[in-house]
Amino acid sequence: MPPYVVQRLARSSVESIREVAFNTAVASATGETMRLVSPAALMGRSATPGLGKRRTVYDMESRYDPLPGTLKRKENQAATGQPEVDQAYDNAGVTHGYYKNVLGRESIDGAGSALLSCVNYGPQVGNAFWDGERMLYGAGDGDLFVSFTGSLSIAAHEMSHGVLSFTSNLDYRDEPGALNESFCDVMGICVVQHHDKSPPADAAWFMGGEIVGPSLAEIRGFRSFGAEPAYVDHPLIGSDPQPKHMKDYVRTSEDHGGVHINSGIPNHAFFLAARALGGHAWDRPAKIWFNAFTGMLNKRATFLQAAQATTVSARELFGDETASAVSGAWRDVGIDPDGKP
Amino acid sequence: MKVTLTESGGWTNVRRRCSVDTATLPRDAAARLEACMTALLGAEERAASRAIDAQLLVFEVEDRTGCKRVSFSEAKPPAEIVPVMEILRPLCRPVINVRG
Repeated sequence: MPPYVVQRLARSSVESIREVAFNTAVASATGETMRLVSPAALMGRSATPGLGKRRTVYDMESRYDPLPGTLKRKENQAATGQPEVDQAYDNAGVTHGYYKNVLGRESIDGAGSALLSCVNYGPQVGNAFWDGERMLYGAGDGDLFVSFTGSLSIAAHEMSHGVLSFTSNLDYRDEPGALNESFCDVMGICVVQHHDKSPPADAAWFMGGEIVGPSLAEIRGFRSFGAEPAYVDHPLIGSDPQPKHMKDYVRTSEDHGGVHINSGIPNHAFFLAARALGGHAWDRPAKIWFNAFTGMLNKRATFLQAAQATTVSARELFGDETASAVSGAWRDVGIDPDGKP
Repeated sequence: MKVTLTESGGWTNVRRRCSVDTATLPRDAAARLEACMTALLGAEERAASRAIDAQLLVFEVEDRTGCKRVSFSEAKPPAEIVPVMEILRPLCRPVINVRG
């Protein structure tokens, strides 16, 4: 059965038809380099919508374990007055609302899963991550980084790792890993832009400025989607290592093959596509990326396949002119959707 | 004993590193760090495969017996790591990224 037919069946309102699509996708997945429907995505889409938010925030109090830590706030409970707890709660709610109201996805698993956050994870941890079940936020060292709960874009980024784990499940290494990181960055910046309600011309394209500590005070963030690097020649951390074009792709054994570095290339493609399309990045461009990354890519997808999938997604959702703008954005970062691997 | 900790792979993409030679520390502090490192080297090395974007903590130890290396995901570290991190993390400094 052609993949686009499977994809149409997958979106049917009839459960039995979705099941046919699911079984077909599973049967045809072996040996394919790319499939248009991820079985996990189908499982998510067959879920009952309308469950609402179910947020819970725990405090690890600078410990690594035992998880999840001390319960601090549950859904519908009043603010605690503890900034990290209330920020994690609020940011999970904002991100949940964007996924539901703009992208039509019911929480992380597509079936209304609970949103679990653990704040103050470990001793002075300068990171936030998704552990397969929950978002964990470090408090930073207070010098380079302050608490990671202060950033809505990082909360949305981490929740998006969860979304991908239930859909394309992109391998966290090399090109698929960089696509994984990029999708989460894209969703992170779109959640912020949607929440800010700023006009497109004033939209924020830097991420992570909220976690910058006093020693890094002059930098605007750790990610830049535009042509300008996030930081240059900083005396402590040097220059933003993210490339914006395939000719500058970094081959390294560190960071799972440079997933946080080479994500700069697809991030810039998204920025260029959003600029070319006009309007809000969180609207048409985000819907195109979401549809492609959660429904069209398999776990070993390459940058080229992402370019092809987003172009197909753009055509499906908004027509040929939009598809042309998206493919042009990828060509501008050195990836031709019509080209060969 | 010379101990090096490298933290990498987190969201900020800022690697941090510190090296401590216990010969330069007061005797009590040196003994404590050496004991903590000996315990950590005996801990089971493990990766938290579902916590894909957790930081990786890499410890390298040089002493008279040679050089040893052990790494842990910060998502699921062994209990022995806690006293080591309390000593080393405040000493870690960023590694400067050189563009191009």
